[in-house]
Amino acid sequence: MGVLDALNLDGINVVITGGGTGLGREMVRGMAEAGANVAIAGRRQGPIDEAADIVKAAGTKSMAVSTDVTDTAQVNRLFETVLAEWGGIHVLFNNAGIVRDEGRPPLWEITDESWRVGIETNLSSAFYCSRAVSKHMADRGSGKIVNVASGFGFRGGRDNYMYTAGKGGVVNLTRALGVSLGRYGITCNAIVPGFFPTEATNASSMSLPRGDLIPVGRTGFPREFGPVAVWLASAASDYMTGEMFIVDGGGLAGGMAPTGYGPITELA
Amino acid sequence: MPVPTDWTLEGKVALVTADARGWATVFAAALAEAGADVAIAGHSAEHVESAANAVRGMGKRAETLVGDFDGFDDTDAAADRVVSRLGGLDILIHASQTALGKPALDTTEFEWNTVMDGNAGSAFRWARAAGRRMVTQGNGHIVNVISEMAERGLSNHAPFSASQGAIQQMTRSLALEWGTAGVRINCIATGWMELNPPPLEEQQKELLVRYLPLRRKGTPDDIAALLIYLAGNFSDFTTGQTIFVDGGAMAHA
Repeated sequence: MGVLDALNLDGINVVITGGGTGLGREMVRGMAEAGANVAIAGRRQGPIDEAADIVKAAGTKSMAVSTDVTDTAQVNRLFETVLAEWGGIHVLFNNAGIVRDEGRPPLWEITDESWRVGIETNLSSAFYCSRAVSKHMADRGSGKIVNVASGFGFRGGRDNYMYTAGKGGVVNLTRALGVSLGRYGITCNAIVPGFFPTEATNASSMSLPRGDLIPVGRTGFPREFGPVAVWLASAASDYMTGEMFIVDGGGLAGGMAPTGYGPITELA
Repeated sequence: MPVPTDWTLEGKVALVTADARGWATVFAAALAEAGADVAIAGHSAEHVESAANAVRGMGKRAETLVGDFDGFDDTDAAADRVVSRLGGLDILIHASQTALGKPALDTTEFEWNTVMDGNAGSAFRWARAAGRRMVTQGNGHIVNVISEMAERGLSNHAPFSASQGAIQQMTRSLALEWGTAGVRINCIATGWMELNPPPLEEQQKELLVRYLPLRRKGTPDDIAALLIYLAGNFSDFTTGQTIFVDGGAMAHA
Protein backbone atom coordinates (compact mmCIF):
# COMPACT_ATOMS: atom_id res chain seq x y z
CA MET A 1 0.00 0.00 0.00
CA GLY A 2 1.37 3.37 -1.00
CA VAL A 3 1.61 6.45 1.13
CA LEU A 4 -1.23 8.23 -0.64
CA ASP A 5 -3.57 5.25 -0.26
CA ALA A 6 -3.60 5.97 3.47
CA LEU A 7 -5.46 9.20 2.66
CA ASN A 8 -8.36 7.30 1.16
CA LEU A 9 -11.57 7.89 3.13
CA ASP A 10 -13.77 5.36 1.31
CA GLY A 11 -16.33 3.98 3.76
CA ILE A 12 -15.31 6.38 6.54
CA ASN A 13 -18.27 8.00 8.32
CA VAL A 14 -17.60 11.54 9.50
CA VAL A 15 -19.73 13.77 11.71
CA ILE A 16 -18.91 17.47 11.53
CA THR A 17 -20.53 20.21 13.58
CA GLY A 18 -20.87 23.67 12.08
CA GLY A 19 -20.32 22.02 8.72
CA GLY A 20 -22.72 24.19 6.76
CA THR A 21 -20.62 27.30 6.44
CA GLY A 22 -17.13 28.74 6.28
CA LEU A 23 -14.18 26.48 6.98
CA GLY A 24 -16.51 23.65 7.95
CA ARG A 25 -18.06 23.52 4.51
CA GLU A 26 -14.64 23.34 2.85
CA MET A 27 -13.60 20.49 5.16
CA VAL A 28 -16.83 18.70 4.23
CA ARG A 29 -15.98 19.14 0.55
CA GLY A 30 -12.40 17.86 0.98
CA MET A 31 -13.41 14.78 2.94
CA ALA A 32 -16.25 13.89 0.58
CA GLU A 33 -13.92 14.17 -2.40
CA ALA A 34 -11.59 11.77 -0.57
CA GLY A 35 -14.44 9.27 -0.29
CA ALA A 36 -15.98 9.92 3.13
CA ASN A 37 -19.66 9.85 4.03
CA VAL A 38 -20.36 13.06 5.92
CA ALA A 39 -23.09 13.91 8.41
CA ILE A 40 -23.36 17.67 8.83
CA ALA A 41 -24.73 19.22 11.98
CA GLY A 42 -25.60 22.87 12.35
CA ARG A 43 -28.25 25.17 13.71
CA ARG A 44 -29.66 26.35 10.41
CA GLN A 45 -31.16 23.83 8.01
CA GLY A 46 -30.39 25.81 4.83
CA PRO A 47 -26.58 25.81 5.01
CA ILE A 48 -26.31 22.20 6.18
CA ASP A 49 -28.59 21.06 3.35
CA GLU A 50 -26.32 22.89 0.89
CA ALA A 51 -23.25 21.22 2.38
CA ALA A 52 -25.01 17.85 2.13
CA ASP A 53 -25.55 18.55 -1.58
CA ILE A 54 -21.79 19.06 -1.98
CA VAL A 55 -21.27 15.60 -0.49
CA LYS A 56 -23.88 14.04 -2.77
CA ALA A 57 -22.21 15.66 -5.78
CA ALA A 58 -18.96 13.95 -4.75
CA GLY A 59 -20.82 10.63 -4.85
CA THR A 60 -20.84 9.67 -1.18
CA LYS A 61 -23.55 9.51 1.48
CA SER A 62 -24.60 12.58 3.43
CA MET A 63 -26.96 13.61 6.16
CA ALA A 64 -27.95 17.07 7.40
CA VAL A 65 -29.00 17.02 11.05
CA SER A 66 -30.23 20.27 12.54
CA THR A 67 -28.54 20.50 15.94
CA ASP A 68 -27.80 23.08 18.61
CA VAL A 69 -24.47 21.76 19.89
CA THR A 70 -24.86 23.57 23.23
CA ASP A 71 -27.91 21.43 24.04
CA THR A 72 -26.74 18.01 25.23
CA ALA A 73 -30.07 16.35 24.45
CA GLN A 74 -29.77 17.51 20.83
CA VAL A 75 -26.11 16.44 20.72
CA ASN A 76 -26.97 12.95 21.93
CA ARG A 77 -29.79 12.74 19.40
CA LEU A 78 -27.39 13.74 16.61
CA PHE A 79 -25.13 10.76 17.30
CA GLU A 80 -28.05 8.37 17.81
CA THR A 81 -29.45 9.46 14.46
CA VAL A 82 -26.18 8.94 12.59
CA LEU A 83 -25.50 5.60 14.29
CA ALA A 84 -29.02 4.35 13.53
CA GLU A 85 -28.61 5.29 9.89
CA TRP A 86 -24.97 4.39 9.18
CA GLY A 87 -24.10 1.94 11.97
CA GLY A 88 -20.75 3.52 12.84
CA ILE A 89 -18.90 6.80 13.27
CA HIS A 90 -15.17 6.86 12.56
CA VAL A 91 -14.40 10.55 12.77
CA LEU A 92 -15.84 13.53 14.65
CA PHE A 93 -14.99 17.13 13.72
CA ASN A 94 -15.86 19.58 16.49
CA ASN A 95 -15.92 22.59 14.24
CA ALA A 96 -18.88 24.61 15.53
CA GLY A 97 -18.00 27.96 17.05
CA ILE A 98 -19.21 31.52 17.07
CA VAL A 99 -17.78 34.94 16.79
CA ARG A 100 -20.62 37.11 18.03
CA ASP A 101 -21.15 40.63 16.88
CA GLU A 102 -21.69 42.56 20.05
CA GLY A 103 -19.90 45.72 19.08
CA ARG A 104 -16.81 44.83 21.14
CA PRO A 105 -18.02 46.19 24.46
CA PRO A 106 -15.55 46.89 27.27
CA LEU A 107 -15.13 44.08 29.78
CA TRP A 108 -17.43 45.69 32.37
CA GLU A 109 -20.35 45.62 29.98
CA ILE A 110 -20.20 41.94 29.04
CA THR A 111 -23.19 40.05 30.36
CA ASP A 112 -23.29 36.65 32.05
CA GLU A 113 -25.36 35.47 29.11
CA SER A 114 -22.71 36.53 26.56
CA TRP A 115 -19.99 34.76 28.47
CA ARG A 116 -22.07 31.63 28.93
CA VAL A 117 -23.13 31.37 25.29
CA GLY A 118 -19.59 32.06 24.05
CA ILE A 119 -18.01 29.40 26.25
CA GLU A 120 -20.81 26.89 25.61
CA THR A 121 -20.53 27.22 21.85
CA ASN A 122 -16.78 27.50 21.48
CA LEU A 123 -15.65 25.06 24.18
CA SER A 124 -18.41 23.03 25.87
CA SER A 125 -19.87 21.87 22.55
CA ALA A 126 -16.61 20.06 21.75
CA PHE A 127 -16.78 18.32 25.12
CA TYR A 128 -20.45 17.36 24.71
CA CYS A 129 -19.91 15.91 21.24
CA SER A 130 -16.70 14.07 22.18
CA ARG A 131 -18.41 12.61 25.23
CA ALA A 132 -21.40 11.52 23.16
CA VAL A 133 -19.32 9.63 20.58
CA SER A 134 -16.51 8.35 22.83
CA LYS A 135 -18.17 5.17 24.11
CA HIS A 136 -19.03 4.10 20.58
CA MET A 137 -15.46 4.74 19.40
CA ALA A 138 -13.97 2.98 22.45
CA ASP A 139 -16.17 -0.07 21.80
CA ARG A 140 -14.91 -0.16 18.21
CA GLY A 141 -11.33 0.28 19.44
CA SER A 142 -10.70 3.15 17.04
CA GLY A 143 -11.79 6.65 16.26
CA LYS A 144 -10.58 10.14 15.50
CA ILE A 145 -11.71 13.38 17.07
CA VAL A 146 -10.62 16.62 15.46
CA ASN A 147 -11.26 19.92 17.21
CA VAL A 148 -11.06 23.29 15.56
CA ALA A 149 -9.22 25.75 17.78
CA SER A 150 -7.81 29.12 16.73
CA GLY A 151 -4.66 31.18 16.90
CA PHE A 152 -6.58 33.01 19.64
CA GLY A 153 -6.23 29.79 21.67
CA PHE A 154 -2.53 30.67 22.00
CA ARG A 155 -2.49 34.47 21.98
CA GLY A 156 -4.69 37.16 23.40
CA GLY A 157 -7.30 38.96 21.33
CA ARG A 158 -8.36 42.51 22.10
CA ASP A 159 -11.94 42.76 23.46
CA ASN A 160 -12.28 39.10 22.63
CA TYR A 161 -12.86 37.16 25.86
CA MET A 162 -15.22 34.28 25.12
CA TYR A 163 -13.62 33.32 21.85
CA THR A 164 -10.07 33.55 23.20
CA ALA A 165 -10.78 31.70 26.45
CA GLY A 166 -12.99 29.14 24.73
CA LYS A 167 -10.41 28.34 22.07
CA GLY A 168 -7.64 28.18 24.68
CA GLY A 169 -9.84 25.64 26.42
CA VAL A 170 -10.21 23.68 23.19
CA VAL A 171 -6.41 23.49 22.90
CA ASN A 172 -6.01 21.89 26.29
CA LEU A 173 -9.16 19.76 25.96
CA THR A 174 -7.48 18.35 22.85
CA ARG A 175 -4.43 17.37 24.89
CA ALA A 176 -6.52 15.80 27.66
CA LEU A 177 -8.61 13.82 25.17
CA GLY A 178 -5.48 12.70 23.32
CA VAL A 179 -3.74 11.53 26.48
CA SER A 180 -6.88 9.90 27.91
CA LEU A 181 -8.39 8.18 24.89
CA GLY A 182 -5.20 6.75 23.36
CA ARG A 183 -5.72 3.55 25.33
CA TYR A 184 -8.99 2.98 23.46
CA GLY A 185 -7.44 3.53 20.07
CA ILE A 186 -8.91 7.02 19.75
CA THR A 187 -6.81 10.00 18.72
CA CYS A 188 -7.68 13.65 19.25
CA ASN A 189 -5.99 16.59 17.54
CA ALA A 190 -6.87 20.17 16.74
CA ILE A 191 -6.70 22.26 13.60
CA VAL A 192 -5.63 25.80 14.45
CA PRO A 193 -6.71 28.25 11.75
CA GLY A 194 -5.24 31.69 11.45
CA PHE A 195 -7.15 34.45 9.66
CA PHE A 196 -9.66 33.16 7.15
CA PRO A 197 -12.33 35.59 6.04
CA THR A 198 -15.70 33.78 6.16
CA GLU A 199 -19.30 34.93 6.23
CA ALA A 200 -19.21 34.80 10.03
CA THR A 201 -16.09 36.92 10.47
CA ASN A 202 -17.18 39.37 7.77
CA ALA A 203 -20.50 39.86 9.55
CA SER A 204 -18.89 40.31 12.97
CA SER A 205 -17.00 43.17 14.52
CA MET A 206 -13.98 40.89 14.99
CA SER A 207 -11.01 42.65 13.46
CA LEU A 208 -9.10 40.52 11.00
CA PRO A 209 -5.65 41.79 10.13
CA ARG A 210 -4.94 42.90 6.62
CA GLY A 211 -3.20 40.30 4.49
CA ASP A 212 -0.03 42.35 4.38
CA LEU A 213 0.40 41.96 8.14
CA ILE A 214 0.47 38.17 7.82
CA PRO A 215 3.89 36.64 7.05
CA VAL A 216 2.77 35.04 3.78
CA GLY A 217 1.21 38.32 2.66
CA ARG A 218 -2.43 37.26 2.55
CA THR A 219 -5.30 35.85 4.60
CA GLY A 220 -6.22 32.20 4.14
CA PHE A 221 -8.55 30.62 1.60
CA PRO A 222 -11.14 28.36 3.27
CA ARG A 223 -10.46 25.69 0.64
CA GLU A 224 -6.96 25.34 2.09
CA PHE A 225 -8.58 23.37 4.92
CA GLY A 226 -9.64 20.43 2.73
CA PRO A 227 -6.27 18.64 2.60
CA VAL A 228 -5.66 19.15 6.33
CA ALA A 229 -9.07 17.72 7.19
CA VAL A 230 -8.45 14.73 4.92
CA TRP A 231 -5.09 14.03 6.53
CA LEU A 232 -6.44 14.24 10.07
CA ALA A 233 -9.47 12.06 9.22
CA SER A 234 -7.33 9.42 7.53
CA ALA A 235 -5.04 6.60 8.62
CA ALA A 236 -2.10 8.77 7.52
CA SER A 237 -2.30 10.68 10.82
CA ASP A 238 -2.64 7.62 13.09
CA TYR A 239 0.48 8.38 15.15
CA MET A 240 -0.51 11.96 15.98
CA THR A 241 -2.55 12.71 19.07
CA GLY A 242 -3.04 15.55 21.53
CA GLU A 243 -1.47 17.90 19.01
CA MET A 244 -2.16 21.04 17.04
CA PHE A 245 -2.06 21.46 13.28
CA ILE A 246 -1.54 25.18 12.80
CA VAL A 247 -2.48 26.70 9.43
CA ASP A 248 -2.09 30.42 9.84
CA GLY A 249 0.17 31.87 7.18
CA GLY A 250 3.00 32.09 9.69
CA GLY A 251 1.17 34.23 12.26
CA LEU A 252 2.05 32.24 15.37
CA ALA A 253 5.66 31.86 14.22
CA GLY A 254 6.09 35.58 14.76
CA GLY A 255 4.77 38.13 17.21
CA MET A 256 7.77 40.30 18.02
CA ALA A 257 6.78 42.93 15.48
CA PRO A 258 3.56 43.61 13.58
CA THR A 259 4.95 42.61 10.20
CA GLY A 260 7.54 40.14 11.50
CA TYR A 261 10.23 42.39 10.00
CA GLY A 262 13.34 42.91 12.11
CA PRO A 263 16.15 45.45 11.68
CA ILE A 264 19.37 44.55 9.85
CA THR A 265 22.54 44.83 11.97
CA GLU A 266 26.21 43.82 11.60
CA LEU A 267 28.43 41.77 13.93
CA ALA A 268 30.12 44.09 16.44
CA MET B 1 -8.83 7.47 -7.17
CA PRO B 2 -10.89 9.10 -4.45
CA VAL B 3 -7.95 10.93 -2.89
CA PRO B 4 -8.09 14.58 -3.96
CA THR B 5 -5.86 15.30 -6.89
CA ASP B 6 -4.34 18.04 -4.74
CA TRP B 7 -1.95 15.52 -3.24
CA THR B 8 0.49 15.54 -6.09
CA LEU B 9 4.08 16.67 -6.46
CA GLU B 10 4.17 15.90 -10.18
CA GLY B 11 6.75 18.01 -11.99
CA LYS B 12 8.53 19.05 -8.79
CA VAL B 13 12.12 18.38 -7.77
CA ALA B 14 12.96 17.55 -4.16
CA LEU B 15 16.22 17.34 -2.27
CA VAL B 16 16.39 15.10 0.82
CA THR B 17 19.30 14.95 3.24
CA ALA B 18 20.08 11.44 4.45
CA ASP B 19 21.82 9.97 7.45
CA ALA B 20 22.55 6.45 8.68
CA ARG B 21 19.11 6.02 10.28
CA GLY B 22 17.66 5.13 6.87
CA TRP B 23 14.62 7.40 7.21
CA ALA B 24 15.50 9.30 4.04
CA THR B 25 14.70 6.21 2.00
CA VAL B 26 11.13 6.25 3.30
CA PHE B 27 10.77 9.99 2.69
CA ALA B 28 12.35 9.92 -0.78
CA ALA B 29 10.09 7.04 -1.81
CA ALA B 30 7.01 8.92 -0.54
CA LEU B 31 7.92 12.08 -2.47
CA ALA B 32 8.54 10.01 -5.60
CA GLU B 33 5.23 8.20 -5.15
CA ALA B 34 3.57 11.62 -5.09
CA GLY B 35 5.30 12.42 -8.37
CA ALA B 36 8.53 14.27 -7.52
CA ASP B 37 12.00 13.64 -8.86
CA VAL B 38 14.32 13.39 -5.87
CA ALA B 39 17.95 14.15 -5.14
CA ILE B 40 19.51 12.67 -1.99
CA ALA B 41 22.50 14.17 -0.22
CA GLY B 42 24.46 12.64 2.62
CA HIS B 43 27.72 11.46 4.06
CA SER B 44 27.14 7.74 3.60
CA ALA B 45 27.16 6.58 -0.02
CA GLU B 46 25.34 3.41 0.98
CA HIS B 47 22.36 5.23 2.51
CA VAL B 48 22.23 7.85 -0.25
CA GLU B 49 22.21 5.12 -2.89
CA SER B 50 19.52 3.15 -1.08
CA ALA B 51 17.24 6.19 -1.06
CA ALA B 52 17.98 6.86 -4.73
CA ASN B 53 17.07 3.29 -5.61
CA ALA B 54 13.74 3.69 -3.82
CA VAL B 55 13.04 6.76 -6.00
CA ARG B 56 13.96 4.95 -9.21
CA GLY B 57 11.76 2.07 -8.06
CA MET B 58 8.83 4.51 -8.18
CA GLY B 59 9.72 5.38 -11.77
CA LYS B 60 11.08 8.83 -10.96
CA ARG B 61 14.50 10.36 -11.56
CA ALA B 62 17.06 10.36 -8.75
CA GLU B 63 20.33 12.17 -8.23
CA THR B 64 22.90 11.26 -5.58
CA LEU B 65 25.18 13.70 -3.76
CA VAL B 66 27.78 12.24 -1.40
CA GLY B 67 29.85 14.50 0.85
CA ASP B 68 30.17 16.23 4.19
CA PHE B 69 28.39 19.44 3.16
CA ASP B 70 29.92 21.30 6.09
CA GLY B 71 30.35 24.66 4.40
CA PHE B 72 28.08 27.11 2.55
CA ASP B 73 30.05 26.51 -0.67
CA ASP B 74 29.33 22.77 -0.48
CA THR B 75 25.60 23.08 0.03
CA ASP B 76 25.34 25.87 -2.57
CA ALA B 77 27.18 23.70 -5.10
CA ALA B 78 24.98 20.71 -4.24
CA ALA B 79 21.81 22.74 -4.76
CA ASP B 80 23.15 24.04 -8.10
CA ARG B 81 23.93 20.50 -9.16
CA VAL B 82 20.38 19.36 -8.38
CA VAL B 83 19.03 22.21 -10.50
CA SER B 84 21.32 21.36 -13.42
CA ARG B 85 20.69 17.61 -13.27
CA LEU B 86 16.99 17.48 -12.40
CA GLY B 87 15.89 20.80 -13.83
CA GLY B 88 14.84 22.64 -10.68
CA LEU B 89 14.60 22.66 -6.90
CA ASP B 90 11.16 23.06 -5.37
CA ILE B 91 11.32 21.05 -2.16
CA LEU B 92 13.96 20.59 0.53
CA ILE B 93 13.57 17.95 3.22
CA HIS B 94 16.25 18.22 5.90
CA ALA B 95 15.94 14.75 7.38
CA SER B 96 19.47 14.11 8.62
CA GLN B 97 20.66 14.57 12.16
CA THR B 98 23.75 14.26 14.33
CA ALA B 99 22.76 12.56 17.59
CA LEU B 100 24.59 12.47 20.90
CA GLY B 101 23.47 11.20 24.31
CA LYS B 102 26.06 12.08 26.91
CA PRO B 103 26.25 13.68 30.37
CA ALA B 104 26.94 17.40 30.01
CA LEU B 105 29.97 17.19 32.29
CA ASP B 106 31.60 14.66 29.96
CA THR B 107 30.75 16.51 26.76
CA THR B 108 33.77 17.93 24.93
CA GLU B 109 33.96 21.18 23.04
CA PHE B 110 34.39 19.19 19.84
CA GLU B 111 31.19 17.24 20.55
CA TRP B 112 29.18 20.39 21.29
CA ASN B 113 30.38 22.01 18.07
CA THR B 114 29.77 18.85 16.04
CA VAL B 115 26.22 18.40 17.32
CA MET B 116 25.29 22.06 16.88
CA ASP B 117 26.78 22.22 13.40
CA GLY B 118 25.49 18.80 12.32
CA ASN B 119 21.94 19.88 13.17
CA ALA B 120 21.38 23.64 13.39
CA GLY B 121 24.33 24.50 11.14
CA SER B 122 23.36 21.91 8.55
CA ALA B 123 19.68 22.87 8.52
CA PHE B 124 20.62 26.53 7.99
CA ARG B 125 23.16 25.77 5.25
CA TRP B 126 20.73 23.62 3.29
CA ALA B 127 17.82 26.03 3.76
CA ARG B 128 20.03 28.89 2.60
CA ALA B 129 21.30 26.93 -0.40
CA ALA B 130 17.79 25.94 -1.48
CA GLY B 131 16.33 29.30 -0.43
CA ARG B 132 18.58 31.19 -2.87
CA ARG B 133 16.73 29.53 -5.73
CA MET B 134 13.29 29.33 -4.09
CA VAL B 135 13.14 33.03 -3.22
CA THR B 136 14.09 33.90 -6.80
CA GLN B 137 11.51 31.60 -8.37
CA GLY B 138 8.86 32.76 -5.87
CA ASN B 139 7.93 29.27 -4.73
CA GLY B 140 9.42 26.57 -2.55
CA HIS B 141 8.69 24.25 0.36
CA ILE B 142 11.17 23.34 3.07
CA VAL B 143 10.54 20.76 5.78
CA ASN B 144 12.92 20.22 8.67
CA VAL B 145 12.42 16.85 10.33
CA ILE B 146 13.40 17.40 13.95
CA SER B 147 12.99 15.82 17.36
CA GLU B 148 10.44 17.06 19.86
CA MET B 149 13.44 17.71 22.07
CA ALA B 150 13.11 21.11 20.39
CA GLU B 151 10.41 21.71 23.04
CA ARG B 152 11.05 19.12 25.74
CA GLY B 153 14.18 18.54 27.80
CA LEU B 154 15.91 15.19 28.26
CA SER B 155 18.87 14.34 30.43
CA ASN B 156 22.15 13.64 28.62
CA HIS B 157 20.85 15.60 25.66
CA ALA B 158 21.75 19.23 26.36
CA PRO B 159 23.63 19.83 23.08
CA PHE B 160 21.21 17.76 21.01
CA SER B 161 18.05 19.37 22.41
CA ALA B 162 19.63 22.83 22.02
CA SER B 163 20.37 22.06 18.37
CA GLN B 164 16.78 20.93 17.75
CA GLY B 165 15.34 24.03 19.42
CA ALA B 166 17.65 26.09 17.24
CA ILE B 167 16.20 24.54 14.08
CA GLN B 168 12.66 25.24 15.26
CA GLN B 169 13.44 28.90 15.93
CA MET B 170 15.32 29.25 12.64
CA THR B 171 12.27 27.80 10.89
CA ARG B 172 9.98 30.41 12.44
CA SER B 173 12.26 33.29 11.48
CA LEU B 174 12.82 32.06 7.92
CA ALA B 175 9.05 31.62 7.54
CA LEU B 176 8.65 35.33 8.28
CA GLU B 177 11.64 36.39 6.19
CA TRP B 178 10.60 34.42 3.10
CA GLY B 179 6.82 34.44 3.54
CA THR B 180 6.02 37.07 0.93
CA ALA B 181 8.59 35.52 -1.41
CA GLY B 182 6.40 32.42 -1.63
CA VAL B 183 8.68 30.09 0.33
CA ARG B 184 7.13 27.93 3.04
CA ILE B 185 9.18 26.34 5.79
CA ASN B 186 7.89 24.07 8.56
CA CYS B 187 9.11 21.39 10.95
CA ILE B 188 7.81 17.93 11.61
CA ALA B 189 8.84 16.96 15.13
CA THR B 190 9.00 13.28 15.98
CA GLY B 191 8.98 11.52 19.30
CA TRP B 192 10.24 8.01 19.88
CA MET B 193 10.58 6.85 16.33
CA GLU B 194 12.54 4.01 14.75
CA LEU B 195 12.84 2.66 11.22
CA ASN B 196 12.02 -0.88 12.34
CA PRO B 197 10.65 -0.89 15.90
CA PRO B 198 10.30 -4.26 17.66
CA PRO B 199 6.93 -6.07 17.58
CA LEU B 200 4.19 -4.35 19.59
CA GLU B 201 4.18 -6.92 22.37
CA GLU B 202 7.93 -6.53 22.83
CA GLN B 203 7.72 -2.70 22.77
CA GLN B 204 5.01 -2.59 25.40
CA LYS B 205 7.26 -4.21 27.99
CA GLU B 206 9.10 -0.86 28.03
CA LEU B 207 7.93 1.70 30.58
CA LEU B 208 8.47 4.36 27.94
CA VAL B 209 6.01 2.80 25.50
CA ARG B 210 3.39 2.29 28.20
CA TYR B 211 3.75 6.00 28.99
CA LEU B 212 2.98 7.05 25.41
CA PRO B 213 -0.78 7.66 24.91
CA LEU B 214 -0.77 5.63 21.69
CA ARG B 215 1.36 2.87 23.26
CA ARG B 216 3.73 2.27 20.43
CA LYS B 217 6.85 3.73 18.89
CA GLY B 218 6.47 5.59 15.65
CA THR B 219 8.11 4.85 12.31
CA PRO B 220 9.06 7.22 9.47
CA ASP B 221 5.98 5.92 7.60
CA ASP B 222 3.87 7.73 10.20
CA ILE B 223 4.95 11.09 8.81
CA ALA B 224 5.25 10.25 5.10
CA ALA B 225 1.86 11.65 4.03
CA LEU B 226 2.35 14.78 6.14
CA LEU B 227 5.67 15.31 4.42
CA ILE B 228 3.90 15.25 1.05
CA TYR B 229 1.35 17.79 2.30
CA LEU B 230 4.02 20.17 3.55
CA ALA B 231 6.00 19.73 0.31
CA GLY B 232 3.12 20.71 -1.98
CA ASN B 233 1.39 23.93 -2.96
CA PHE B 234 -1.79 22.95 -1.15
CA SER B 235 -0.09 23.72 2.18
CA ASP B 236 0.69 27.29 1.13
CA PHE B 237 -1.01 28.86 4.15
CA THR B 238 1.03 26.69 6.55
CA THR B 239 4.40 28.15 7.44
CA GLY B 240 6.68 28.60 10.43
CA GLN B 241 4.98 25.70 12.17
CA THR B 242 6.07 22.55 13.91
CA ILE B 243 3.71 19.62 13.55
CA PHE B 244 4.35 17.08 16.30
CA VAL B 245 3.70 13.45 15.36
CA ASP B 246 4.70 11.62 18.47
CA GLY B 247 2.03 9.24 19.73
CA GLY B 248 0.82 11.88 22.18
CA ALA B 249 4.07 12.40 24.10
CA MET B 250 3.95 16.20 23.88
CA ALA B 251 0.40 16.37 25.22
CA HIS B 252 1.32 14.29 28.26
CA ALA B 253 1.77 15.77 31.73
